Parts: sequence; structure tokens; C-alpha cells
Amino acid sequence: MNLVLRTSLFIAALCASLPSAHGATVSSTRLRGVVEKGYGDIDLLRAGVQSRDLTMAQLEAFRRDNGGKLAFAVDVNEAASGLEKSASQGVAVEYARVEVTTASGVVQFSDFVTETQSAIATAGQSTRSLRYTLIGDGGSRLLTNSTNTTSDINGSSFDATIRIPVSIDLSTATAARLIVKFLDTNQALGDPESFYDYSNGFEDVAIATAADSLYLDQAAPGRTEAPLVLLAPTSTLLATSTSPTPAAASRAYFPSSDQFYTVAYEDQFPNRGDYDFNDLVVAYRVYLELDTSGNAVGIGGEGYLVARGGGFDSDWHLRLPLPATASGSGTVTVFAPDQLAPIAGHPRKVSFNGPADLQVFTSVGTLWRDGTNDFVNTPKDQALVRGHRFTFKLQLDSALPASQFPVTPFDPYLFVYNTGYEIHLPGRSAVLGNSRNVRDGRTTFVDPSGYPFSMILPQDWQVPVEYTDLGLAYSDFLGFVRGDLAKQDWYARPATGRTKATLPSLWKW
Amino acid sequence: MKPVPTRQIAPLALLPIIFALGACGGGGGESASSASSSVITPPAVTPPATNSTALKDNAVGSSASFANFATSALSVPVAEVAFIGTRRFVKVTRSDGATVFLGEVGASQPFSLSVDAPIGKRTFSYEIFSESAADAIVRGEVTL
Repeated sequence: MNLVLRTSLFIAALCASLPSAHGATVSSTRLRGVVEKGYGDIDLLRAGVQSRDLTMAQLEAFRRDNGGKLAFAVDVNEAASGLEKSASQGVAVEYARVEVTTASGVVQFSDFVTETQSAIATAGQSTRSLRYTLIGDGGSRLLTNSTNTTSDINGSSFDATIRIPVSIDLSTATAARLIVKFLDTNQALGDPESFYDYSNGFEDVAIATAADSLYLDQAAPGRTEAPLVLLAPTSTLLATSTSPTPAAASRAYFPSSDQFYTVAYEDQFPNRGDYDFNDLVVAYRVYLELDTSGNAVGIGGEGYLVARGGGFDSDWHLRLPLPATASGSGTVTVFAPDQLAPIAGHPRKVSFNGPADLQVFTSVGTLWRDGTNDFVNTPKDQALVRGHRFTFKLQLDSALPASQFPVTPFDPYLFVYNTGYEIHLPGRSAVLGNSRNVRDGRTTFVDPSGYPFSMILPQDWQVPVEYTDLGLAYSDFLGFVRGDLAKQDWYARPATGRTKATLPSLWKW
Repeated sequence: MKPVPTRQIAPLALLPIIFALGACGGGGGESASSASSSVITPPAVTPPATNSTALKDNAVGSSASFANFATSALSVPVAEVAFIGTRRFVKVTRSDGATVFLGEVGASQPFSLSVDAPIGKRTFSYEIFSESAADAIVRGEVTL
């Protein structure tokens, strides 16, 4: 947690301990009503826990606490669609309003703001326009923003905020409701519409203090991985809001936003192995964050362990060949299979000057086994299992022009403990000072028969069964490498019984 | 490293049997009598034949390519589009629908992008749009 968040923590605790101007304690409260199937009509006096039901005086205290607005926290809870995933989900808001019942009638307050916007086409429309959005993550990352244990934000998975200016004193009103409708997006257009659709729910809603709202805005769950995130104009944001650095204007995805490179290794370098190219298999993808001038300001990515068919132990690195003038810092995070909480020691901070060499998976042989079996997802009769996931996010100290972007598919390589050798893609260089490659003159990553020791493959490539030569697992592969254009999609035709069904549906979680 | 399994596929290569004759008889080709020596023409010498597609049975030349992806530069004519809105957004997708770029770009400058795609999937579609609902999405296709 950074200094800003620590400060907001303190402020949250302080605010929670102070009575409002009307003497009512201000403490964020989850409401009983929810947004279900994109629509919510929520009584602001009914709390999720009946004993915490609110009074109009307390609503007025919330309004004053938020500088004349009512602030609501929303727990975004959507099914994965398009770019949506557990780590990043979103909806767009069609409208949100507060209706207050007073002695003279019902008063509506229909202006609203959220922290983020995107250019989105409504269902049935073929043009896009700016819409307010709510972005969050999958929900297992519980917030611990406050020492105020009475706040329902504390220990919750609330994500984003909606603020609605309310210009009347609520203490004399008799009722108040929040009405919110999510936007039906034109999903046929793909992303960003698919990401910002609503399909699942329900979404929990809380009425929030200024401090808790600020905390959520700064935590910005899921925002870094969401597409086309545009910060709402600052003039519409809460005066006290200090949103994090605006997300980059653009993202370039390698190989694409929803697909991966698969890198496969023979780990007996410099000796030829059994050519089953399954000693270690990792899927990964990378994105560059660009400013509106096309310069890179950040780099991120994610990936998965797919298979391990070698008994040697190794580290897996993803090296980004940045120019010597580049520098920056960030984090690498590894997750055990099907876990949203990182493994011990993660997130791990990294910094770089020049190329960024990320040691992503350390001692894969220790990290990932299938019971007592060294091999995972390669023996013929072994059931398939999921592997570890990683993410990384790097911020560049200064923007990098397009001419200096790292060459794709970057430099994914192994350092094999048992041999002391690095194994790179052909054409890459050994980079570790402690490896044997340079000392032994083993710096060309092709064997005497012309074969590499690692290859980049499309994500639909399936791992050969243990000891099965790649050329037997895919009878068109040899023709492909010899230049037969008709066999460019050789990986789409595995030989029956000679590969494992290691498709993305298995390893991507 | 893994234990080496029992070899399951015998090499199919057959060594050609060549009956070579010694240089018997020497010249004298003009002499009919010399025809008494039998001459057996050896079969044409060919590389070891194999039907195996296994890598271990087949060397490949230095010209072999193992690249399943290719990188190309793609240009999107953003500056040529006249919009009411002031902001410019671009989305680039591959022919299989995979998004390779999505974001805001400069409105008045050329926009180019390095894309990496599986060999054989070299057609890309682009959308140019603004923040205004009054601006229709401009679409195009590029084959690299």
C-alpha cells in the first residue's frame, strides 16, 4: 500500500470517528437493495443488515460528508465476456438518480458521475459515444481500507463509485431511493462493448463516506486491465478526489488482447532432446500502454504454466529487450492455480535500466508438480491440471518512442539449474552472467540438425504426449519448416492420440 | 531431462546396395570380344529415403523457418477522417476477431502500429471513431 493509500486510510479512520454536523455518525453502509440484471431501485433507508437501517438524518450526514453529493460504492460482479476476467470487469451506466420524497412531492436528482468513461455503442446503435463506467475485479480481493470496523467497505470487495449531487437537506425528507440502470451495449461490436456489458449481477451497493469513496477511487480495482479507460473530466469529479495517474490512452496487444503466445522448450541444451518440445510450456501475452502520441508509457502482461515434461529444474524469464536508455519499475505477481491471492513473496517489486529481465517463475520444478510426478500435463494417461498464473506491470520513467519498442515476441527464456545453460529462441543472445553459455561458447540456440531448442507457437497448439517427437505429433510440421505454404496451420492438425488437450480452455483461468 | 524411452520406430531408411565392378578389362571397348565381361549399371544414388516425419529422422537446412508468427507494420488513416468529435479512437482486429489495438490516438497525425500475428492470418480490420454519437464508425481492412 502506497503512501497515498495509507493517508486515505488515516483519513477514513478519522472521518469514521467524527460525528457529522447533524450529530449522526458517518459510516459506509451496504444497502439491502442490489442492482440485478442491470437495474436497481434501492431504498436508501434499508441497510443490508436490518440493525443498521438508516435515518434521513444519517442520509443528510452522508450528503454533507460528501460535499453536497451522495456517494455510492458498487461491487461490480460480471461474467467474463470479451476482455472481462476475474481481475478486471466492467459495466457502463445508462442512468443513475436519487429520488427524494419530501412534504411537497418527489424531487429527482439525475446528474451523476463516475471516475471513468469509455466510448461505447448502445445496443442497436452503430456509433459510439462517451459513457460513464464502473470497473472492478472479481471480488476475492477484500478491501482493508479502514480501521473503522463499522464501515461496510472494510473487508468487502466494493470496486467503484457513483456520485450524485443532491441539493436539498435530506433530514426533513421522508424517503429516498437510488435508481440505477446499466447500459445495454452493442456486444456485436466486440470490445469495448463486450467488456462494459452487464450480464451477471447482482451488484451490491453501499452508501459511502467521502473517505471510503476516495479510497475506492484511488485503489481503482481492475482498472489497469480494462480496455479504453478514459478518466472522466476532472471538473465532474469530487473536489477531493485525487484519482491515480490516468490510464494510458491506448493499448497494443501482443499477440492480441485475448490470445497468447505459447513458448515450448527442449531443456537438454546443448544436447538434442527427444524433440517432444514439452519440457516446459508457458503461455504469455504482453501489452504496451501508449499515450496519444504513440509512445509507450507502460508495459504489462500475463501468462500461465501450461505443461512441464522435463525433469530438470529451471527458472522461466520473460525478458523485454528495451533500449539501454529505458528505465522503470513495477511488479511481478504469481498466483497458484485457481487462486486470486498471490503466492508468498508476491507481488514482487522489480526495477530496470535497459532491458527488463523478469524472472517470472523461479524453480518451476519445485513450484509446479502433479503430486509426486515431475511431469505435468504431458504423460499420456495423466489427467490435465491447471498451472500457475502470472501478471506483470511496469511503468516506464520516460515515454518510449515506437521505434524503440521491444521486438516481439520478446525474449522468453529458461535458465536450467541442472546444466547451467540458458535456452533462448534462435537469434537471441545469452544474457545471464552466471550461466555457462558464454563460457562454453554455446550461444547459438539451434542444434546441428537445424532445430531450435525453443519455439513460439499459437495458443491452440497442443502439447505432444511425453516422448512423442513433435514431427510425429504433427505430421505437417516438417513440411511447414521446409517452406510448404499449405502447411502454415500445421498446429491445427495434431495426430490422434499423440497430443494432450492443452487448449486455452484448460490452462486459462 | 527425462529417461530415454525404448526406440519404438525403426528407421525406415534402406541403404542402397551397390554392386560395383572393378575396373576389369581396361579399355578395348572397340573389341567385341571384351563384351564377355558383364556390366551391371548401379542404381541411381539417392538420399536415404524415409517416410518418417519425426524431427530426429530429418535434418533441416539453414533456410528452414520455425517462425509461426510474423511482425508487420500497419497504418490506419486516422488523419484522413473528418469527424464532428474532437477525439480519435482506433480499434484494430485480426481476421479471427482478436483485438490487437484499442485506444485513443492523435487526431492529426499518421497512426501506425506494429502487429504480430500467426503466419497466414495477415488480414486486419480497423475502426476509427470519435466520442460523438454523430460520427459513424469508419471501417477498413488491410492485408499485410
